[in-house]
Amino acid sequence: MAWWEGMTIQDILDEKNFTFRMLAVWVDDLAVPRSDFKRFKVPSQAKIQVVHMISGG
Amino acid sequence: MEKMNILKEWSYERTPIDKGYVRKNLYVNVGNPSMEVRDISQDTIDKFTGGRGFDLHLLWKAVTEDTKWNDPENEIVISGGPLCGITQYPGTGKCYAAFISPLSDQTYDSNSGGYFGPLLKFSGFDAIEIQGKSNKDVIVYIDGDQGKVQIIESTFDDVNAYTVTEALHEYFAKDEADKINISVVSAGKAAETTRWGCMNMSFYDPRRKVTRLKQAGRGGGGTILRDKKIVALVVKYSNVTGTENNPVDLKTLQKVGVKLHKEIHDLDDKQCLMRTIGTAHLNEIMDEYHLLPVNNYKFGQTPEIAKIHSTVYKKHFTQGMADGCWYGCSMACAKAVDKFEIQTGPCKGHVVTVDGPEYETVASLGSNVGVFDPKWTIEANFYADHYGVDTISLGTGFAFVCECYELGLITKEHTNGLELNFGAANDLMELIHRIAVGTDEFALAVGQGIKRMKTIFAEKYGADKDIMEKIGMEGQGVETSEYVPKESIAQWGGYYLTLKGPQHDEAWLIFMDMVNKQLPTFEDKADALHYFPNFRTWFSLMGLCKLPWNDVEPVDNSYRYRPQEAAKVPEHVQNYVDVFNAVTGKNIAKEDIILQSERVYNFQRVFNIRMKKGNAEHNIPMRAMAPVFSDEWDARKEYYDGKLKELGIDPKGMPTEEKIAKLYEKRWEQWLDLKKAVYKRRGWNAKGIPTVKKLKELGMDYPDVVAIVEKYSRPEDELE
Repeated sequence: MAWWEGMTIQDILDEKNFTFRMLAVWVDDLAVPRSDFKRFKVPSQAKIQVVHMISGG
Repeated sequence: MEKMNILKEWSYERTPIDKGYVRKNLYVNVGNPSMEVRDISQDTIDKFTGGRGFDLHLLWKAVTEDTKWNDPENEIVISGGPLCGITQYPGTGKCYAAFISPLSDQTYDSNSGGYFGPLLKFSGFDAIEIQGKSNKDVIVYIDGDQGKVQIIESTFDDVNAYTVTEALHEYFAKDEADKINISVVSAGKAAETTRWGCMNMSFYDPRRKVTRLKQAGRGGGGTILRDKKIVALVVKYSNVTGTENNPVDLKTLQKVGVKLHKEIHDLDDKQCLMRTIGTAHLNEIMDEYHLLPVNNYKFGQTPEIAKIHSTVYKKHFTQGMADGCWYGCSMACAKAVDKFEIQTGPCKGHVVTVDGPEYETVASLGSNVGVFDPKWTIEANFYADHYGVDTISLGTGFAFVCECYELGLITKEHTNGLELNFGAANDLMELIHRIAVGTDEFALAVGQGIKRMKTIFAEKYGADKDIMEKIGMEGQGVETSEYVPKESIAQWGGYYLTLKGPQHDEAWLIFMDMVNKQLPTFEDKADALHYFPNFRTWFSLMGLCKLPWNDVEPVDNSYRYRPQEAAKVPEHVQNYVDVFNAVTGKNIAKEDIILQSERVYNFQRVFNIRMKKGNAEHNIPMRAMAPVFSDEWDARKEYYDGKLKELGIDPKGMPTEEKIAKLYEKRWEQWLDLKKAVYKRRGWNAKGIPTVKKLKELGMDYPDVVAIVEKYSRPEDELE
């Protein structure tokens, strides 16, 4: 997806419709706590990994 | 309730538990009435650990390779494990039942919460074996207070679960407060008429003043119970304390427990909402990711999701209750619907407490049969429990029937007037009642399960067997549980390369594989299909519920570990190591968990090879791997066209039937690659038989186990 100035992790999750509550997000090699999703600004060209910590049945 | 006649009674001396073990098991034969208290050897403890391990070890000795599920030699063996009954850590009330299954003709292990496991252990037995077949309905009663075992002649006309359970808690309790010291295992009428019988295991809820039911649902254990003419197993033990297991290091046990209690308290509301919604929190999550089974797994998503959203179910569940199914479980996810008025059947007009529904039942007796009415699902759940039939098998079985009906493979004439389209709520409920009554030929056919329904429908009704093979969601004769596996190769294995059939308690890998893309190669998938089944087996050796493992996670789990490790919730794994060592005095490390499990896992596989005379085939239906019909493809056209392109096939201009055929052809090759990779990783040959080398590595090379492997292995099947 296209990057924009000031984009946060939460913006990415909203765009991807990742609504699950237990997500793990890595920006490049940095793990970002869930409490920081709304304020962590994603740098341009960053590699984002979103992992769903789903436990299932 | 009138006094029941005691047919036989024996006394025994109760052995207290030492570091999690009694070292005794109870053997009861209801056919040739007898009882023995047998020793459990140190070798058995070292190699089989407990719980399911003990069950399988005892069952192996009880049966021969010719034993059928309904032979007297078949046993129901129930055991908790060394951690069963501790009260300091959440999720420690589970017990595990093993038997030769009426569905699969091989071993099945099924687990339940409730108080039966802990009270049995406190009464002096690590395990109970029930063998033989009575010629009249009986109740087996273990009085742990008095040190007595009785076989009692049942006077119940109505053997259904709520009737029997409420009455027996009343019968054996000296007063209201004493009811909590009793647990009842029961089935019901539908366990007599189907292969899907469940075993309900009770606990008394003193706040609601009702008996509650958990289920060892799967595999047909309840069918065996009723085939043996057992109405109930009852155990009573009073004066439960927090140190019944006599742990070596109570302080550590308490410390680790407090840590997890705090975590659940602080984080559950932000994570899985287990305390308020239980497993039904998954409903819309599964739908969002195309995993919710809709109309016999045709689709994974529905526009009707708002009707079965978790917030809708939350309104039905009474909030603020201490809904743990054993003392000390602060996860408290055993939600219940109170003051529910039954609308149909023999309990019409009764106002009841219904246990659940869990997510599995929301899907099986809901979206999978095209019914999106929570009240209908709650009532179906009630009757499934009351009639003693597994909700997953019932719903998945019904989903198959509905699709057969919609395709015209069976007609209203065959169904004796029922119009069994998807969404036919009234007729589906009527079918549940007809199954319990047991006189309707079609209903009896349905209750044989999907594997046998395919043959019956083909032979009696001329239904197309080929189509039914594609859409019948069973593996090894067992109905699939309620997640759409088709878009996750790893979950094909998580369901269909299992020991017992497609139940999700071996490995649930859909998100790791499909969403997170953490398992890109076959070797990665095989590694996960080695680790997770073995890790989850450990819960069944211990007497543990898996939910506190990963339905809550430490706040830093997602960023303290790389994703592959985070999925294992390492801190909780360490908790379990600490708890095990604190109870038993042993000194295991995390790696030993896998070793303990792998011993039993491989033993069980050899056991299945033994019972199937070398042919314990892992089968997978087409619907589990790919769309079968055009409407399924068209519902996600862009996605599936993209999947063909990924495989190097251009879908442009191709008719949909041809696209389906080409995708399935490629996926079948992937299935074969997966199977080979998994067998190799597990140390099995190409037929899925553990090698002698593997058994030796694990210390499970007992002569009779090796004999089975050598009997059915061929040099050309080696996978080096």
